[in-house]
Amino acid sequence: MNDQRELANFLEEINSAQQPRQLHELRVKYLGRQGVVTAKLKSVGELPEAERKAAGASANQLRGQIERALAEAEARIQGRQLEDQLKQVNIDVTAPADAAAGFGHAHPVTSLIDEAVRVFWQMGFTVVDGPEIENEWYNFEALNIPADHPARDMQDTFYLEGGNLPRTHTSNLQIRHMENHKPPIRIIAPGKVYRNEDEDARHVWMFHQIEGLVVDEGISLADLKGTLLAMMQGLLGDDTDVRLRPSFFPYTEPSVEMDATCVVCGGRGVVAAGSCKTCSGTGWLELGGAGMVHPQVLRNVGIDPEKYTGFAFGFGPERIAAIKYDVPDIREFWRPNLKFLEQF
Amino acid sequence: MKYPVEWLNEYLPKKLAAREMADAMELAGIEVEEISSHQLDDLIVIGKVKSVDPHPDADKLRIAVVDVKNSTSSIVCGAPNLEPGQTVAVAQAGAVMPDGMKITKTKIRGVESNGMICSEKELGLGDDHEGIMILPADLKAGSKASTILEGGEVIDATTAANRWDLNSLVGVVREIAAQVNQKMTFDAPAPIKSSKALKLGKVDGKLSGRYMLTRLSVEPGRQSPDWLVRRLRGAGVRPIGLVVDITNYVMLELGQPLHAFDASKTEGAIGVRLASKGEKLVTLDGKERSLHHADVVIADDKKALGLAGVMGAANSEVDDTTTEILLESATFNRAMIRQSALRHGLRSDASARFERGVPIDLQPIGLARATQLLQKYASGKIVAGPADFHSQKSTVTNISVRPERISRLLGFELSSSEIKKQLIKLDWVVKPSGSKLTVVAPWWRTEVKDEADVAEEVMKLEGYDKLPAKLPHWRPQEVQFDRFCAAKWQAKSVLRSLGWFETVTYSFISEKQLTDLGMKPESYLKLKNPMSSEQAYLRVSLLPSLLSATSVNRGYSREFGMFEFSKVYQKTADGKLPDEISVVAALVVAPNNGYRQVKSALDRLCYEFNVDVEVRPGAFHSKAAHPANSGMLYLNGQHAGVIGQLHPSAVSAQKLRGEVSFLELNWDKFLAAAKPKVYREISRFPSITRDLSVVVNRQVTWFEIEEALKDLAPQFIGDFYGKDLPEGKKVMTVRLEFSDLSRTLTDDEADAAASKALEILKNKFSAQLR
Repeated sequence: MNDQRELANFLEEINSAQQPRQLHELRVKYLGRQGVVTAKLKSVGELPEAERKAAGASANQLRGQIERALAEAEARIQGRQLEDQLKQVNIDVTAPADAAAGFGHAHPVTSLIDEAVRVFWQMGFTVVDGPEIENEWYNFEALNIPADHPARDMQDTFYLEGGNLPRTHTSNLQIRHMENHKPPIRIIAPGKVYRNEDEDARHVWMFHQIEGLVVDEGISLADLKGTLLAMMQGLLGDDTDVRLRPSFFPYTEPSVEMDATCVVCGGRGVVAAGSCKTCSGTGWLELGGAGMVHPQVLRNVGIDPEKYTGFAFGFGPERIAAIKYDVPDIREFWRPNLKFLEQF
Repeated sequence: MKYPVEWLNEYLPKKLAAREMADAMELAGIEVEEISSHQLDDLIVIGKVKSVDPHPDADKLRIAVVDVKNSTSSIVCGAPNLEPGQTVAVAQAGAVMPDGMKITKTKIRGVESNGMICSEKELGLGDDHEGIMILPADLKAGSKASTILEGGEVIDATTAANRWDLNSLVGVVREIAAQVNQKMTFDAPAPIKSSKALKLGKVDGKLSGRYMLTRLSVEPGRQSPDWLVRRLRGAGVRPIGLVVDITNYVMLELGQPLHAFDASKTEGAIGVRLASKGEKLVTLDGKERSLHHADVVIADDKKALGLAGVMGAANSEVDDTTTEILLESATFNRAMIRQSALRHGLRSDASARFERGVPIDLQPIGLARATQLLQKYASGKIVAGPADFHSQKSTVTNISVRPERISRLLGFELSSSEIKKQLIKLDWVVKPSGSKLTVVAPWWRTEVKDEADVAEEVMKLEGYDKLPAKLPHWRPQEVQFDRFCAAKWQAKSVLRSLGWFETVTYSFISEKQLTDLGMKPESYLKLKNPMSSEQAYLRVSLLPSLLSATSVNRGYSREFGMFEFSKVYQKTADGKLPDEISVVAALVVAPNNGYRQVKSALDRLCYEFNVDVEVRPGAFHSKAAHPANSGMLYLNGQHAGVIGQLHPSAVSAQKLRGEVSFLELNWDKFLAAAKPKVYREISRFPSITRDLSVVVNRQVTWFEIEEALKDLAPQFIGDFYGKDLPEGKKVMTVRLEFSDLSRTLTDDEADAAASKALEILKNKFSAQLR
């Protein structure tokens, strides 16, 4: 009974202890040389023989309980002290770790080309590469653009001293690829092209094109439309729609222009601020040209146009990048201005 | 070309709004650029200049008193061509100009001005703002300027380069009518005839497919009627005088360029020939032109009267006094006309049409139409002709069309009757022949040659919205894997991890960019027609471009790096295509240790792709490179790029501070050398390391030491170029790690191996243990 009361008293005191010093005092009070429990242990020897064993065991048990309680209390107090210490604010968890300028930056246009390549890979296209400096045959004549034809005006051309020219489009790779490969053909050819045009916010004299070419038995204009639709959904999102408008390119027949629904207004032609500036309120963006490969072009590379048909398309990643990243002036792309590039 | 809507509507039984017309044009493949509406404020009126007096306070200003019907206005005007008696357009106070400017009553240098006398530009009619626009004298003072100057709505559109016929109102209306299921109402006038023959001079049939000429008398000095002036202006053609206006009108209406010579200014018979050597000609724009021997000229017995198909000559120009004209309706060799126009920098309305090839069926129609208008408005009478030379015959192409082929090409079912139904809308002739169709395109569709052309025509008339979207079947015979793109992405991610910027810079550079770096422009490919001298040479290295880019961005930060993947162009034999090499280049500007950054990039790339690149010390360029801190890159003994700090003088010439270092790697060669990584078994037993610090000559490279100790896979710990070392020496510390797959090595074994390594270094490099 006595022991139980001692224990209860002790536990009450220890639970109210908040400081290590108080714990120390309690240890002295109970377990110290003059302590309550020590006294009890000492008094065991004075008891009659018969009671000694039980009293000793009881006093030892009491000491053990008190020691465990002291250890627990100590851990509790230390733990709380650590928590209090840790709660001190030493860092701002919201502050940036380092400046974004040093993150490493991919170029927006090459990123867009890379993205397009991944889209086309999934559609079974192979990427091919070829010369940027070309002769007139591959750049013009094999593509049904004879010398002294006004169709040459569609592409202002640079010429090199001593002949040849920086290609005006990636369509030269249609010819180069078909010369060495028999159908079925399913390729894309991304690369730089050059036009001798004055620069403004929407024109630069060096830009990229992504050329596509599919040739096989039974390829149709409807296949072209489906392919362009899939490609634009891959690049601009699943909700994108595509429409074709008749056009003229000497190397395709029929020839079309490809429009995709405006990514800014979702094809509605209006945004909160009024008429959509990106698509001039039409809901459509002109993104590229396409068509069925002209039978004469197939003949030029030794492919029988009676047996095989095909389609080709080309579009400019700069324009898509400008729309996608809301860049008002495409001249920014090549400057290079690091303040511009660090945003990508 | 600009198509006035009111004019287009003349040929349609049911009038269309501008928007409806533009939509129909788009469906026909005519690209509409814009629909503009040209309406003038009612407060802009016709005025007669009564008097012109100097401004008391300004030399360049004058005070005009202008009669605008029942009142006169005093207007301060700066135009140099202002004269009393002129008929002009006056914007009165309150008028709003086409550009939005509002005219108010104001004082200019103390003199009251009640409006503005307008220039062509101010009226939104053209670009001329050199002086005021002078109007025909018969216009009534006070009448609204809009009645004569207003063009109404105009559709500006671009047409296909293979369609000469769309360079005309009638050609475009034909397409519009077919799209909206109307029948156009233009009837070609009957060919003209006269009893009196007109003799032509020699016409070279290689130069002109058909040459027609009529002699007509006209009443001199007649003014063009308002409707004619309005339509010409709407179409963007400046009215000049009745006869010329009529020829221009017919050109716009039918696509046939015409030319009228003042008959009294010609001598003898008119023919077509090549220009002779040294021949000169003053064209109607007043410029004297030295003709080229491939220029086609119209000439009489004595002299050239015009640059055929491009522009007439001043010597036979029709004017107010002309009483007889020779009216030409012809077609010329289109390539020669194009060359002439390009050569003389003179792309006229006529040459633009001839370049596309005007068919020989058109000349009699154009001539008849112009004669009809001259008879009606200029009291024209046929004096003689027409003379008619032709070297070509009108051809008809029968195209055999298989409806199932058309269906297969387009990807949806089209029956014979459906094809016929569509094509006859455009006056094509379609006859069944067995299971096929025989199709004949009308004479004006000279570009139509085969089934694919027919398919396009049918598709346009069906409408592209009807076309289903399908995906092509794919039955590859082999798979070609692209190893290039993914590798490039991998490399880009390595270079980005260094904190660098990917750039794209122009492929063409300036002579200065080359010479600044001591590079010789002669060894570069050069453009014949660059945009400017800034972009005249094709680069063989990205160094000039990246260095300029760095210089431009020098305020950005003290330390940054750029990298770029691009092709470079190595000149080969003259006229041959250059060698195009894919390179990856990087340029870093840093206060110090710039070399280490580009070397880190090289090492990381080598590690990523498991390629052994050898750096051979030495300046990669005598002027651009730092003489010691640079090297050439070799792959399997072949040159594969450069690395190094740039020469401090090249750096300061770009106003850059700190160190600039450059790396350029032949990406084609590098990628070809990539190998798969191979795992080396790791011992389960602890290894023992021994570091060797040796004193060697400064020229001894880590590459050589690594090669010498190859079997021991040495690690580079560091090198030290302290002043306390003997002259020309450095310390290099090499770590060797010894282990065995089956047991723990003893210290003695490790020491023995390390001594052996030291022996090698002593023998090969006279190394001394530090």
